[in-house]
Amino acid sequence: MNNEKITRRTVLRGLGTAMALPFLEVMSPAGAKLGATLGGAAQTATASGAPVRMAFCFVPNGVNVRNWFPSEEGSDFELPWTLRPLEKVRDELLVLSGLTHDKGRANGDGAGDHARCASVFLTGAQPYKTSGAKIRSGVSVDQAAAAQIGTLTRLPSLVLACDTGRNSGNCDSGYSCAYSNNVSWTGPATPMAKETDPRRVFDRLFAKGAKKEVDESANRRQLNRLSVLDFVREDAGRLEKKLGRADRRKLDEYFTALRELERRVARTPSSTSWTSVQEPDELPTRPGERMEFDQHLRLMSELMVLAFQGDVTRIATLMYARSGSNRSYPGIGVPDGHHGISHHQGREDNLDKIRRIDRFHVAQFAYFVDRLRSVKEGDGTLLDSCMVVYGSAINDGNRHNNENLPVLLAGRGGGTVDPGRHVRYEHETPMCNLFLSMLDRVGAPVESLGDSTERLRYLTV
Amino acid sequence: MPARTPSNRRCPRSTPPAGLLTLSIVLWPWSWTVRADPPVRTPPEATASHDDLSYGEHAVPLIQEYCKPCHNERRARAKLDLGSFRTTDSVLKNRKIFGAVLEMLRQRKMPPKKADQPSETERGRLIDIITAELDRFDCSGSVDPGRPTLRRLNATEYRNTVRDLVGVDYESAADFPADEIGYGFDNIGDVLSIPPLLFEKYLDASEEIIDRAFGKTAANAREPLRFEAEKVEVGNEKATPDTAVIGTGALGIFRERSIATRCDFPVDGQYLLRARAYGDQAGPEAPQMAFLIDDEQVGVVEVPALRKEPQVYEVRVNIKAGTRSFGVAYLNNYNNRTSKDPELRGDRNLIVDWFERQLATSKKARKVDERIFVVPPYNSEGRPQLANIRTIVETFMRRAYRRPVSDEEADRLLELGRRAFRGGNSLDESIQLMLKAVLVSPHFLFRVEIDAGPDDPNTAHPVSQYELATRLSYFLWSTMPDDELLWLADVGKLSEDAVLDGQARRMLQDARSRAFIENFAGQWLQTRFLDGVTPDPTRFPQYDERLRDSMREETYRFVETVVRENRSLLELLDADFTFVDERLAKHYRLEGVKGEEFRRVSLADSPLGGVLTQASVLTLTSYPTRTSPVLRGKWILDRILGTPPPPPPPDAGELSEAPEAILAGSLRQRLEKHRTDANCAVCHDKLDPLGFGFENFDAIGRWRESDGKFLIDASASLPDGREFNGPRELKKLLAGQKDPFARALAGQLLTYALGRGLQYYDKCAIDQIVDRTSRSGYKMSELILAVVQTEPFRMRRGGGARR
Repeated sequence: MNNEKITRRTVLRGLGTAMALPFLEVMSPAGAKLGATLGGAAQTATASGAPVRMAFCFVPNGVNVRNWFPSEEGSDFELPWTLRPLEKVRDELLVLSGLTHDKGRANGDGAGDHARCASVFLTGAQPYKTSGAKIRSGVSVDQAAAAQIGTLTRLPSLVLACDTGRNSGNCDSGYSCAYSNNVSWTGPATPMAKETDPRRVFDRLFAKGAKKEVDESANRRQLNRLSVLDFVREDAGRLEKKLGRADRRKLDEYFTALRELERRVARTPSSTSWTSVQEPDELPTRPGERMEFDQHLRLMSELMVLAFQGDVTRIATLMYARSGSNRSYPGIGVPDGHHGISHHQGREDNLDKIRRIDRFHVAQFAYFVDRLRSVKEGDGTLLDSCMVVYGSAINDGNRHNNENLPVLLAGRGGGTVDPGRHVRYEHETPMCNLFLSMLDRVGAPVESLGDSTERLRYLTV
Repeated sequence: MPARTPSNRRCPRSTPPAGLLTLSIVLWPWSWTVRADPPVRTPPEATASHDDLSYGEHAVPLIQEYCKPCHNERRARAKLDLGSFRTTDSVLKNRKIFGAVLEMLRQRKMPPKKADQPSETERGRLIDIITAELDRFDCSGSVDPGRPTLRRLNATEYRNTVRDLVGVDYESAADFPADEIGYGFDNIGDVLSIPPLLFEKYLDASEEIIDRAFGKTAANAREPLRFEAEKVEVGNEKATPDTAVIGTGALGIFRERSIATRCDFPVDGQYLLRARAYGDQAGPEAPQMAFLIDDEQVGVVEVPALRKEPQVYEVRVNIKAGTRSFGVAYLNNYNNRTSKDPELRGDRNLIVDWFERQLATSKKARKVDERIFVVPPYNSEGRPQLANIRTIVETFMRRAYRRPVSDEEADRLLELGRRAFRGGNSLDESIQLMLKAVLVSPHFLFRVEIDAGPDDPNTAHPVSQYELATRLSYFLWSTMPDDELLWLADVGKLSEDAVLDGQARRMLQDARSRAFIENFAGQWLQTRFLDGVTPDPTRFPQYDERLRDSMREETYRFVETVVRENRSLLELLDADFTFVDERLAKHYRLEGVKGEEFRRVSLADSPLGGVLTQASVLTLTSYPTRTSPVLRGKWILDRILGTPPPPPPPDAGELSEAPEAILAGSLRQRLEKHRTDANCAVCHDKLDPLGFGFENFDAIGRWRESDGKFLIDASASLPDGREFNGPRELKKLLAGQKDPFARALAGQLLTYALGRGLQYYDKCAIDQIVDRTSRSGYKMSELILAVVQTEPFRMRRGGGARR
């Protein structure tokens, strides 16, 4: 039928004369099932028609390496103490050892490993050392994917974190806080804003404006919004001509955000199909409520599951805590700050506390993986179509070294990954090679990302 | 190949990482710190006059010895021939190179490990000499005012601006994605970005704000919004046997507990909260039912009604607009099966059928704020007045953009409204749409400053009158300029020295300057970040959010007083008064303070006084489980004296917290032991003594005489040999560092005021500020006024590097 592209401008021209509704249906999101039938997006879908999704979980300060890596390779390996909470989903799990983030190293830039640890985690790019001016990292793997397949879903990606970032005044050794607070970068100079409040995320994903509006006024509102965006774009265009280079860069961010929002507004479903989504049990009734850390992490995991399930997005990141986080964990008997004791100096008391924190984090991750597996999709589960990375860009918090990183990969990537193994890679294998392979699998292939050298091998048997 | 010079032998083979110098060269401006003579630098016998730090005489030999082996004319590693620079002049002409050299020395990246190392004294001396040379900047010529990058309003500024522009307090701005921090502040143009998520929130906000300003949603709020109690409870996953559905549609509540749901309160106003309920009556009194908003009881009623005749109970409450939790609670359960008196036997329950909210009155609902409708858009017959609509739109744009708008700009916006009207919107809606567009325009979201030659670095020029008004109001108020500032800009008088001074004085006395205290002082002293500090609850059960808020409030009130009462900035370090509420007074063991009101108290004869002994600062410089003299020392060096220590090496560890280690000696003894390692001592000789002086305060800022079984020893000596015993004496020593402290503070203020990192040429501005401040007897307000008078605050230039 009508395959003509309907642009926003076409709609605007028709504003006030044409009935808006038929246009809007053409512009509405293809959705999971339609997406699979689109020629270009075919490879993003699994045999069952489900799209392939990717998620990334970041933990700060490295791990207690003694209790992290299995001693055996292959499928016959025993989960070490820290990873035991994953026993239930062991067969859905790849433990990857030997991966490296070389650009997390100083490479002549001196101190600041924690700032680099976050900014390099998904970008593989050496951050430019600055407290403010000329921030530069690289495009992160999730945003590289969003740039290609983000248009297929209502939200290009979901960027979550548990720290607000406002709590952090001390940033690491001459690096702007932007580096230690962000793993997702949409452009080298633009970290993605993170959402930290589960209630607000839920409302944004599913509930927003659902009840109040009847279709007609919703449609007019949508057209009004588009005309406002059109107006301010022209404002910005005129302003840009008068500005210097650095200021134009700021305005570029404005344009980018504007474009993305226009796409989304044009695609907002006019009916209220999301109201049926069940709220997670623990979700606070209003924003800003305090919650326990494990509850916060479970809710964030839950939201990613719901977003994947409803195909609201196929890409998500979650920062458990900002890089260098000094959060204390009284609930598991560790009243000390995480960063503080991560400089353990080989002392048993510290090492024991770190591994308890590690295991606590891993248990939250296990919950996430298990939840993905509990959702039926087609003949299998939601987890079958997912690739979920968990890890840190520091190996040992005491040494601040960036090789042999603690990395887990859960899910089957729509049948393109064979989990249930421990794979040991050659020393210094770039972590970014993993990203390259993942991008292929979600249908967003790129030539290179960060310091990648080739596709990562052995993801399948 | 035979070695030609002795030094040749010492240049290690390994090549330094490629691009090392080029990278670091560009780094250096950020690490330029306000130069302050550290209190501790020079041993008394070696008090150096400026001439003793001459580059040619004292630095060149060291450079020859340690740097030249690799950086010479024949083998210029990193393309750098350091041997060729032999005079002060050559240093000043190659500022960037020496900035990088300085950084390499400070961070101990050069000389490389394999090469011969200078002694720590030699390294320190070289750093001092190069720093001193770089500070010799000629301020007599034309001054470079620098150039801030286009600044977006941060979340605080956005909320304040909306408040003053349309009269709506948009609380949700606090939930915008966090503003990134640069140079210690969240108002730095370079790091304030607009990610797509934020832009989405701006669009949502524009709609909600204008809807609220027009009271559009008030009409909806006049309709009762009702919740069936049993449905609310079914949706509650934490349901317990405390409740049950009674009959066909009511909820029985059998124990003290509450039920609540989310509910929109679309406008500020007085609401009627109602509930239909009855009781299973038992015991001496009727069931009590509380109405809850955000878990707070806002009204309590008795429910004597019986099952056969339920009643509607009602309270009136003022509620601010927003999505809130709304519900009811049962307060006085009673269950007695054993009493001899049959009258007293029985089980009391509360049964709730439904509860609802309805807007009773709202100021906002009656009339659109006159800030927006400066003239009526309709005539008395209700016909639109086109000329008036134009006036409304133009006035709004001018205030929102903080400058006059051209006819063409207004025409474009009116065209947007016209099209919306033709597209089926009502006239009101069309006007609203125009105002919404203004709130997402870059002219509103950014503080735009225009240059004649935007890419020509040599075109320094004063900013326009309106741009100056905007700089001033966001510096001192974190909001848009008021009518007086805009009027002074209209008549072109704002830039006159005396006018500018007078306005700044006026603004500091205005209540809006509280925003300056919270935003500047909160970030300079870092008290804003107290939220991220979590003292171990088992060791410090007293610490909770209320205490934390009181701690922060003390610091704000204290700094505010020093600013408003034109006190000396040295009082920030050592004062004889502070502000406490009952909670904090208990914390400090101050007698006779009752109630939640903050009040001023005298601290004569107390070790307390000044920010250094305030619980806020003491807590945020501690670990969750114990104090940290190192963190406290670092905070003082960095925040107060402007001489932050270099970052610790990655293998620097923590003190062990194992029981056997803790029993082995006091924290101080353990720290001192670690300082016997010369590598640690380099920095910790400066850090630790400052921290020891405050060891009488525990990790949440309470006075103590001992730590566990160890008596506190708060005496120490600074590296220059001056001795002190306890916080009082140390504070006196610190407050004696007048100029270094004033310089450090001036640097922080200037960064905050300009919204950019400081550059070497800003030294001239700092000099001016410190000069005026010291002449005034170190008055805090003079320091702020002096910032406003500087060239970088009043001028700008095109972008690019200046030659």
